Amino acid sequence: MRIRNTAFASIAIAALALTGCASGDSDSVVSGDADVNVEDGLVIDGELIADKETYEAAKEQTLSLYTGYQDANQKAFNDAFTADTGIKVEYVRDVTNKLSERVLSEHGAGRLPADVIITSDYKVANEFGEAGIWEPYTPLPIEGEDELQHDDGDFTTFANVAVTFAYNTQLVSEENAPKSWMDLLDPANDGKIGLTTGTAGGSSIALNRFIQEEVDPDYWTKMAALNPTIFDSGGQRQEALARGELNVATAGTASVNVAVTQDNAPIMMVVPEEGLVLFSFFAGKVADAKNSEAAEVFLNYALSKRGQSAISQVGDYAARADVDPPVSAGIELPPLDSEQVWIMPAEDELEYGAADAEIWKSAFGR
Amino acid sequence: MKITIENLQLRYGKFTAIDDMQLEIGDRESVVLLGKSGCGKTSTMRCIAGLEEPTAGRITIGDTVVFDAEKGINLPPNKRNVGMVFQSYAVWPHMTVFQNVAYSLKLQKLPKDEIKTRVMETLELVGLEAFAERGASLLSGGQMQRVALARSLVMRPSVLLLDEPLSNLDARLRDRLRIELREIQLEMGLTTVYVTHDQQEAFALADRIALMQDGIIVQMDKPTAMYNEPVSASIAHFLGVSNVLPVTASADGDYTLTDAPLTVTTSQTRPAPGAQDLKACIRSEDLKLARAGVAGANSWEGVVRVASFQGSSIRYAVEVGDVALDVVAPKGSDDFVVGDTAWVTVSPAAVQVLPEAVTKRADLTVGAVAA
Amino acid sequence: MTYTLPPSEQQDEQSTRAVATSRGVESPAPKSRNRGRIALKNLRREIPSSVLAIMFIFLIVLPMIFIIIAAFSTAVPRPGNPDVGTFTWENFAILGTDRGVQSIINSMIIGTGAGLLSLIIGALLAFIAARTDAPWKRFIYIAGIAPMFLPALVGALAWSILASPTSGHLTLFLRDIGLGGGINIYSYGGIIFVLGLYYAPYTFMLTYSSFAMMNADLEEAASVHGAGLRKLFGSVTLPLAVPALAGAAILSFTLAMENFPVNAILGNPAGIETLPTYIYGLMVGDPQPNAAAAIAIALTAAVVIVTVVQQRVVNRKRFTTLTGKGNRPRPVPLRGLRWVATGFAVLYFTLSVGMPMIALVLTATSKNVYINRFMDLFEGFSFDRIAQAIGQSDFRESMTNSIIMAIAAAVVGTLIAFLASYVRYRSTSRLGQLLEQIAMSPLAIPQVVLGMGILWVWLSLPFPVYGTIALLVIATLAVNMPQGYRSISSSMLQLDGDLENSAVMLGAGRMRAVRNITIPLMRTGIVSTLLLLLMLGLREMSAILFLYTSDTRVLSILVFHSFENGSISYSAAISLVFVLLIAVVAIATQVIGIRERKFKDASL
Repeated sequence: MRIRNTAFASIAIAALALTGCASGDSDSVVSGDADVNVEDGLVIDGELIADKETYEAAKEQTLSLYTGYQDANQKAFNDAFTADTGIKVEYVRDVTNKLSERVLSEHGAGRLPADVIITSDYKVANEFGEAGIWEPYTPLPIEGEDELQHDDGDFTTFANVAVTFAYNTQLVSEENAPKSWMDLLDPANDGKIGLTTGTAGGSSIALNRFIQEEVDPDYWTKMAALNPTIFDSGGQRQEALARGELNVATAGTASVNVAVTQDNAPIMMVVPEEGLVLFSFFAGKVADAKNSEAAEVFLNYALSKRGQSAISQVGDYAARADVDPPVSAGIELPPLDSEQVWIMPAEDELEYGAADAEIWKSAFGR
Repeated sequence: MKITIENLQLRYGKFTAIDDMQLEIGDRESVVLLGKSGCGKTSTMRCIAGLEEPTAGRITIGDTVVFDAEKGINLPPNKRNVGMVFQSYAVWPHMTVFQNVAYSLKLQKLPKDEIKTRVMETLELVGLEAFAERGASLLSGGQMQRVALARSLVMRPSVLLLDEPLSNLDARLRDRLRIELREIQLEMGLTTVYVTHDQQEAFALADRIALMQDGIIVQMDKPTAMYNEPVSASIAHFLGVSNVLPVTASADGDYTLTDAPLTVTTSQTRPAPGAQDLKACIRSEDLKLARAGVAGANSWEGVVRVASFQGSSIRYAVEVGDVALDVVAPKGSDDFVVGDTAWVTVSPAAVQVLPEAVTKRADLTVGAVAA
Repeated sequence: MTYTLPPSEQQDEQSTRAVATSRGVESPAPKSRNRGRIALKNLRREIPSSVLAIMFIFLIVLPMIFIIIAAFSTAVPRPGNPDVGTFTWENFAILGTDRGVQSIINSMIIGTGAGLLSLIIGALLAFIAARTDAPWKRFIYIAGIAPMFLPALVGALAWSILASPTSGHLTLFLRDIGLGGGINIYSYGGIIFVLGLYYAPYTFMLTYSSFAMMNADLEEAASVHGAGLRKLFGSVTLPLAVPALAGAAILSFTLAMENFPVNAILGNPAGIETLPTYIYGLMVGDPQPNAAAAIAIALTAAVVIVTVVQQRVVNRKRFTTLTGKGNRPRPVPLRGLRWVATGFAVLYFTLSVGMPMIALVLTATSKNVYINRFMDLFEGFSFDRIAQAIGQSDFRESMTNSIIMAIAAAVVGTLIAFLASYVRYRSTSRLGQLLEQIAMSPLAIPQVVLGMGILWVWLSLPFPVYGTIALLVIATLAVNMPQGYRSISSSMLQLDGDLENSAVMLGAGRMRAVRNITIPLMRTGIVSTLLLLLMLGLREMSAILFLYTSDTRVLSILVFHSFENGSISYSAAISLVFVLLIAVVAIATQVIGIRERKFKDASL
């Protein structure tokens, strides 16, 4: 028996040693100069985020968040939220479809632990509504502004994510860098283009629609001829670009921003002549959420000026028009109403999503 | 204590290991179950122990019915007070000799002093008193065997079962332990059932031998009777009769070898007329070799084909007609060599003509109690 | 005509058995009035085996049934999804699509390539370690098994850092010293290389004992008859090892074919899709779970066929060479090649353990994440990233989850394996053999597939298991059942059943006898099974790919996740801790193994 004890003891010691290590503070992308006032409820930069009763309850809770939002951005946003409100967040980030499958299964089994869900796919959010997953909630800062609310207030536009492309600055000089979506079809990029699967999630839905409407219906076929590498996730795609395995790749402006400012990744994004492609992330409160108050505070914060500018600071477009466009990797991006910004109309997905995905699939033989 | 076995049957699927057995073992009697491997002797013992569950029948030890298929009685082994010494000894290597022997007494929650006295007494009986504190994995085969015996004896079992306890030992040690075992058995007045495939062991240890073939007791007798009067040729062969020759009865009351034109005469009891598949059984030491023929019955001319020196005797293979006879002759001055012509003779009294196998059971209902 | 002395006892025994068997058929059946009672008695006897059977149904049988249902249905079993769907063959159409066919071909290429490579590396190392006079034999043995403790997931991650086509550390190093590029781990060759590297320990272990215990008499007989050393090896030694070699090759073929993490990490950038990654894609990216089930069935069928063929080959060729008795085989003199042989082991160790670990450390600690010269790596180091990784709450949670899951799966798995083995080898239960077959069946079921089935089973059952760590424990239990069962059974078979019986004869109840005798005597077997399952549980990833939820992520998933999210340096940092944890368990296992050998040597 001594032997067994020794073995367990050594494992336990290893575990303790590891978990006992101090947590490191990361440099925050979001500036910390918010004016937080907790005298009567929670007021940040003059906007009411939570009344006293709600805030008192929420402070004791740990919010459980399911999100399809980019990992690094979500992390930065959550950090800002926790710093400003003192409410902790536990989140799980996964690709849209896996997240949706999980939410539907867990909800069906009566074990959905999430208090707030963020997804980029209108159709998925719509299905959640049919399954009774949402509890309609209007965030305090946007009361009366219906254009950000969908499906009778089930969920709210939380952020707009810009899809563009980026290039590796060590492999492509600035003057040779592509300026438009059509430039990507340069034969020099043969085998050096990175894409993600065109069938998963809001970004591909928006990009597919944009390509059909604004660029060239045969664009994907022409792209396929250049043997692009198709990744399962955007993270892998950007890592490959940063490591110089690709010349160019489609990219989210926010994650480029994080990689450039935090990790000194040798990549740079482009504002294409045809435009940046924006698609929305939707956030909603889960019915019977265990941490209901924390969920409300989170949604209020997310749609507050402070929360929205946090989104802008991580490199994404805010949902609210009264917040400045993001500066990404040193480039000031065009405002929401610019010609160079194309926003995916959320409800259009139901009409075009499947057909556009078929076009993409047949182009790439998937 | 008395053991009564009635209508015992043990089947594994379609295979029948024990077939409708009747056996009664008297108090303080030592019965040896003798047979080849696979004959059902070990199965019978394991049924008595409770390690096998028979498919039918009844087993009674003393006055306790330990198994009855009809009434659904099946006393677990630990409730039968039966001691058993396994072929592999099954001495526990993670305990000392003392701990091994004391195990059953500890289970009975006896006071420590009493345990100690009884264990030491028993160890003394088997001659291991000096080894009490030794780890059991450090013992020799013979010592382990003694520990296994002591372990069973210390609990004062109603019945002691021994499953080929000597088969893993070398010949010399086997001879010695065989005698010791018999002494202990007689001294303690134990009812024992002993399983072996070695007829020497059986002869030495048994009050009665139950000879088993194919799940049936084919002969049950005292050792001398078994030796002198086997009831079938296959039993004779098993008991060491090496010349088993197919014969046919001739009209004059003699027999003719099936494989050679030779006549065999016997003065022993003859099988019933009309019996089929007869064998003449002659022990190799009863055959005599001579340079010249002898007048009278049972004298045949042959050629020596193999001669092998065995110390005090010489073993010959003598070809007579198409039959090879096994002859053991004491070493003398006039030994035969390969190629010699030799006359083989045997007294009619040493010839037994037996059926190849018996079909009737030898199951006894009344056991003769040993003197 | 030859003359012999009387026939030996042995021949007689055989004939007796034959007679006994034929007699048995004729003997009468038990009387009919006994039947009811006997049935009742049998029922009582089958209680433990029935409990096990029910467990196995939930662990292994039901998941496979769900996969089959899903493959032939239009809908997937899910709570809140009331309609079961209708019967259809449509799902199998996916196997005929270009993508489906390509995945099958890719899986075959990769399985075959990796199987052969691991066979060559493993068998060669085993031969060198077991039978030659090469120096550093102890090291060669360690080199042969050490990569086992590096999960293939981590190996693939490290090799993608080392040998990606433009920025891999090794690629850059070779380019910087003027040796050109040309290295690309994202290729068939790369995947085969990494899989071959990390499955070689399995072939090593399977063939090592075969080489080491090969009866020297057979070889000596051949050399007495004039065979030269070279010829001896070709005509005697090698053919004798064939069963072990074939078994090992096929095992690594199936392992490579059903591997998920390596195919995902290295295959995705190359556009090489295999059956497991295709299943993953159909479950996660573009959800068509029914089609995924159809592919799962195809993959399982392939693995089952290969496994059956393997068992045939191995069983047919089982001449008794592995007696273990007799003298030690003489070492083969390598002469000038002695150091070449050792060099080969050093090279293997460097490629499988040395370089990957260095790459992980550099990536986790170097100030420069993105480099275009090899020396950039050494411009500065900091442990910030590791500290940050360790400080992260999701890391701590995953670590705790990993440990809880592995310990729970190991303890319960050992218990079930012990029970199953006991029922099989120590009781008269008729279910014993069937239970054994079920316990061993996950060997022929790809882990990803079993995981999928378990997902659907527990989503559909009205027990609140989905979303808890218990579900991960269940999956880990199921996929590692064969290893646990085999490990316990080999230990139980070495133990004479009469050791326990004699305690019962002396008055102990059955449970007490098991406690006093069997368990203490099997202590080493039980503890090493426990540690084996602990290690496998810590490494587990493929089976729980679809099962983890927000609060039940484990380290392997976290490594894969951070890789998928593009944080290579973060996942390198986690991998280091992960490997460290596995190493602790692995070393404990080895230490116990050595102690046990010493104990045995002493007691002989």
